[in-house]
Amino acid sequence: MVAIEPLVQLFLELGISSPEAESLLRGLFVHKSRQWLASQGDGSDPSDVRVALVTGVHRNFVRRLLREPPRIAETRQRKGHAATRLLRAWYSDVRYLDSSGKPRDLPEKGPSPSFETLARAYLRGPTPGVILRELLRTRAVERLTEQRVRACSRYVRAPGLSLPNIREIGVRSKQLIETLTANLRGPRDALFCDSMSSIDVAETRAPVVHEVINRRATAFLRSLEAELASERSYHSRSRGARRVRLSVTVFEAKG
Amino acid sequence: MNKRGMGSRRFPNRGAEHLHVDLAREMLRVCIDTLKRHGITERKLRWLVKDIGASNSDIPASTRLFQDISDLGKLVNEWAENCLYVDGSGRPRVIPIVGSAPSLSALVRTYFPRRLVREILRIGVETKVLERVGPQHVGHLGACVLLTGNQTLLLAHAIRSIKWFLSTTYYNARTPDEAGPARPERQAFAELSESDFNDFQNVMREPIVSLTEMCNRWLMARSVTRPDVVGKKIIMGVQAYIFKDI
Repeated sequence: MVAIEPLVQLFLELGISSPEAESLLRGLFVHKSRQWLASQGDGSDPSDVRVALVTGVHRNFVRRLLREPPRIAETRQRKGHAATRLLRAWYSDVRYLDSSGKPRDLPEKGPSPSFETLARAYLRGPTPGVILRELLRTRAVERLTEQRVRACSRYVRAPGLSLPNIREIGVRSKQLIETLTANLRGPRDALFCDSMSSIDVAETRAPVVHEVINRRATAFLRSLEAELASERSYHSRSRGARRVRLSVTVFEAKG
Repeated sequence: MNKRGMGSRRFPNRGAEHLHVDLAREMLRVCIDTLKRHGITERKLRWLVKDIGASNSDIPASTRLFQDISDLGKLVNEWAENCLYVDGSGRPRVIPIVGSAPSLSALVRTYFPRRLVREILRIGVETKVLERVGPQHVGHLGACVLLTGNQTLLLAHAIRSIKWFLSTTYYNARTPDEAGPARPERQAFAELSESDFNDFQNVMREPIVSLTEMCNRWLMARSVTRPDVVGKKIIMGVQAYIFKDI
């Protein structure tokens, strides 16, 4: 147990959940067992039944696991943090929005609207205090003065060097490079890629401007998503037709 | 989407006078029905129609009523824009009610020089732009002054909106030769089930808020950079709202 503890801590820092870690460990266990059994005998690969016997994993799973390198099984990959439901409600339930449609800063406790009532309404099980601590840790929520809290993100994602964050860098970079290179090759079918002219602002004004960019870009993306939602149902009616995946990403640049 | 603002001479002109009388009747009917819903009796309305020609108020009642709302809008705008009043993430910070800037009393001294802080605090809480945070602090709840539940202010709001809308349609009704480019005035509507209305409202809330915030920021920035423009000042702006025909 002492030897595994630091590994568990690393998993936690990387944002890997227990089912994800178990899945990865099972795959490694099976692969390593095959190598070990081979080294114990004449060097030939042992049968799946023998690996199953040694590892305690059913032989059907052994066969499946040995077909590919050890990795987290898709079925075990976390589809999203449970608290995301609470954050989504904070950004959409009118009781928790201000008069401009933004999520209100909430008192931690007390009658509605408060973080306590929001947590109780949208996340059964853990107490509001536990949820708040987790959201503060992942910086999805920020603590303000006067025992108030502010929503900082619609999603729960631990900051820092984690697998989902590295994956996102890869996906975003790939999309941008593909769009730019496709536009170089075929300007006639160019994909949209444009930016506003940059502005120099006083450092003290930067947070205000940053907040404006944040709100405008969010409103733009949400309304585009709502406007194009009908395309999804149109597509589901035209089954068999070739599919093209389209998306729009907006990002703020500094410097 | 219907594009409006084409010159009236592009439409058939036959029987135009007759049509205008019909439209004027319909417009008065709409106004009368709305005023009745606000509790003004038929008898009082008849008396008002006669009285309108005689009275000549310098400042319309709606403008007088909206003075506080307009100043409150400027106050919360300053709170959301002034670096002294925002935190590191650019959002308005919780401020003390009393004290030197940043505080509510400092803002009240600027925008309501002869008024009590507690009175402005009450109006702010009622119109959902401010919220009490403990006994000595106040939070910024939003830059949009909400009149929900206040029948008098909502009637005044409706009158100003109708006046502004009629001014735009009158301008756009002029022939293209007389007028400059038409003022943008767009609408989108369709007949759908009642159950779709809430979804529609949820989808449109954020873009409408965003559009009006953008407009407000531009207008406020212009009033700061060009405060001493000579000549008559006029109100200009954009109004956006969701409607259902009832």
